[in-house]
Amino acid sequence: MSTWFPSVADPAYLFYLRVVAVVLVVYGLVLLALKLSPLGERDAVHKTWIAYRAWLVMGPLIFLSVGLGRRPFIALVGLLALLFVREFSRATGLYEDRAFVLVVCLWVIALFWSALIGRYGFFVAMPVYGILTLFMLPSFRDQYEGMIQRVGLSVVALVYLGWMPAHLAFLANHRDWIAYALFLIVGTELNDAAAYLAGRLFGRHKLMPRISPNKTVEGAIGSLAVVAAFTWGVRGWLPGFTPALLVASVLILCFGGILGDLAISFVKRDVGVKDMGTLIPGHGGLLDRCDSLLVTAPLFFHMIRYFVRGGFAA
Amino acid sequence: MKAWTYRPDPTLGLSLAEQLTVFPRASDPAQSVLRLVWNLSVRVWLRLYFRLRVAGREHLPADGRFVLVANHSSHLDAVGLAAALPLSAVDRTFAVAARDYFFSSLWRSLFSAVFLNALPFDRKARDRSSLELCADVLRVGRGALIMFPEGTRSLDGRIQAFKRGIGILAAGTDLPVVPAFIEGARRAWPKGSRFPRPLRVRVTIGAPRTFADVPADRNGQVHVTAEVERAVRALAEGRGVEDGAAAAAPGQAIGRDAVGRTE
Repeated sequence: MSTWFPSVADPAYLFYLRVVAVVLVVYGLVLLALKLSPLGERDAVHKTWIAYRAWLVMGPLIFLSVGLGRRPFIALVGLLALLFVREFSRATGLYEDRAFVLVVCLWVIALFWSALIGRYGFFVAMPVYGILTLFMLPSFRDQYEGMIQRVGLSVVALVYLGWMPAHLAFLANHRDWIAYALFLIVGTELNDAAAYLAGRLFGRHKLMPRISPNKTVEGAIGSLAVVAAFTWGVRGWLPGFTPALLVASVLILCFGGILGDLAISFVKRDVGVKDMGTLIPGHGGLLDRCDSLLVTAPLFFHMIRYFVRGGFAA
Repeated sequence: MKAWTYRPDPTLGLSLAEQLTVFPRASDPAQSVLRLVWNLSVRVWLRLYFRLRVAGREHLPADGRFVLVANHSSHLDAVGLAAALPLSAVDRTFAVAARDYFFSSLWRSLFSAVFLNALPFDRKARDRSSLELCADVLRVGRGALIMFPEGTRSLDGRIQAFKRGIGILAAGTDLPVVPAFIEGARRAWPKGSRFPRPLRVRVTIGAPRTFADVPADRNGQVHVTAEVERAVRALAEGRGVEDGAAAAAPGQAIGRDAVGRTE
């Protein structure tokens, strides 16, 4: 059991497993009560229920991927990043030019390989080589028409959708990665959910009405409160964190989350699609669900690397 | 500054099951990789388990634009023919497959679209939209088709009358039609049987024909269809299998398998 599922031995793993299980059960019971009440016929309740059911799949998947240990976790985040690239290239039309997509995918694979073998130097230098390769591609083909757009979209895909989430994978090289990774993932998703719920309940003032009409100032404040409470509650499970780092974590989770959300929102608006995909019922594509993580993961990673002493092998 | 224009994949908002039935399929490296891996493994399996032999590969037109037409009595037929093609061609070679069977559920669609690279052919519809899809693959996509003009798998192995679709595609055009004959596939894996038996399968590919000088009217199409059917039957006779009957494996007595399993 523990050879296949090494993280089970980690107390932080069991702690977060319990927290998420309790949250999902309580939230589920509340929704069930709502569904059975006279309000149950409402469209909003139905949609929230569908989105909740997706969480019943995603939650266990997250714990499964962390539970399998460092290598499978890195591999699964890598797969996720490749799927981000796929969704993005389909939404923007980049998919029609296979060469660019393939170059991006190869560099993403190299990136996660470097996370797997723990080569930090290559990991942070990778965009240099990736971007150079992408800029060489039109020259090799002696083509110029529309090439800035293709190179530009490819660089966005490589750096924003490959490199940013790869920080979550590289985090797994830290001694206390299970505690950190689960805090990051659970905190980010909690922030999203809290912003959505608080916005629905109290939302009056729209945050960025043109990009994302559903986001409200009240939602942001609500999520800030929830994330602050969450971080305070789990402070004992964040080894090496000073009070200043706890505050920084709250800010990263909350504002990073909102920025990540808005970033994918403006991409969708500009391209003219509603969702990046249909993989997760009630949520949209993978990118619609993981948009916040693209921002919170690298910021949280570098905060730990700079300010938490020791822990990384290299 | 002029805004960039984006062309999202038109199937983006569809569910996976719906996406898979859309043809032509969008370029997708993930699918190509899976398809390549599948084709490689199937080739190994066909060679080892069924001792697949292919004769006449040299008849396949080098530019990769043709219709490969064969008798049909088993699920092994399409993969057997695909295995006769160069690996580099699997992405632009499409097996014409009945939409009502190969795309009837998510799992079947997934298998048909990703592994078989199937073109969903609506054999129930009265219009010619599916044939137009086929024509587009050949003309616009410069790809190849694998087609079984009998329209369904033969139960007793006898070659059934060809349907006119192949005539409609080829009459009055320079499209090379390559006849092929598959023997042994029905014995190895007949319609309605769950598991294939390890019996020898052999594919014989004949010389391509074009029908540019045949008028593209009904008579011409009937004529082309008959010609193609004759070509496949000739290959069967060349292999010593009369009328394609029983499509027996080489060296095995014809008729021994006349029990004919049914669904």
